[in-house]
Amino acid sequence: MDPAFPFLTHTPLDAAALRAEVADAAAGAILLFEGTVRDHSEGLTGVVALEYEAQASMAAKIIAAILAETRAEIPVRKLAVRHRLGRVELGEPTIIIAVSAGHRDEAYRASRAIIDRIKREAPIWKREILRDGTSAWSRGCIAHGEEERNFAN
Amino acid sequence: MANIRVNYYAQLREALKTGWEEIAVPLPARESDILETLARLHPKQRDLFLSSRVAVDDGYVGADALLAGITGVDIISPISGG
Repeated sequence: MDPAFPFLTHTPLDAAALRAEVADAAAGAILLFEGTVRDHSEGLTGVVALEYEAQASMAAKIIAAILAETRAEIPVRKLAVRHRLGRVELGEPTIIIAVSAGHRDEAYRASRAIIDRIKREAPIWKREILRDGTSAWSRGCIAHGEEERNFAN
Repeated sequence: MANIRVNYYAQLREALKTGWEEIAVPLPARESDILETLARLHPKQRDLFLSSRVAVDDGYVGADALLAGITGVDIISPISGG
C-alpha cells in the first residue's frame, strides 16, 4: 500500500492481514467482505481479468471520509479497507472490507454501507479483459457525492 | 475567460488520447457549464462528458456550486470501483 494513498494497492490483497488489523478483544463479530473478479459482466462472457485505475488521492480521501462517517453512524470497533489497482486475475479479490463490532448486526450494516458508498463515490474505474485479448471499460455509474464548498470566494 | 487544466482518466483519457489539456472557460462557472464546454470541444464524447462529474481539490463540486479562482479540474467519468 502506498502510504500517500491509503486503502489502494497494486499488491495482491491479504485477507488474513486485514482480519488482523481489525482484531479487537471487545469484538463479538469480525466480518470480511471480498469483491472478486468473476468470469462475466453485463452482456460479456469470458472475462479473465479486471484492470483498475483511480484518481488515487481523491479516492483515498473519499474512502477515509466513508470510514469516518460509517464509524459515526454505526457502533463498530475497527474498520479496514483495501482496494486493488492494476490487473486482477479471475477469482482474485478486488476489494476487501474488514469490520469488527460488538455484534453481527453492526458488522453487516457497516460492511454493506462501506461497499455501497465506495461503488457510488470513489473515483475508481475498471476495464474488463476478455479471453480473446480484447477489453472494454465497464459502463459504471455516475459518481455521487459533493462537498459543501463555496468556490466563488 | 480563464485557462484551466482539465485532467482525464480511464475511458475519457483513452478516447481523447491525452491525460490532460488546457481549455478556456468563462468563470465563474457551474459544473454543467464546464461539462457542456468540454462536450462542445469533443462532440464524439458528448454522452460521456454529460454523465461525468467535476472535481476540484479531490472533491466533487456540487451542481449549484459556482467555480471561480480555480486553476484545474478533474473529470470523473462514470465510476466502476469495488
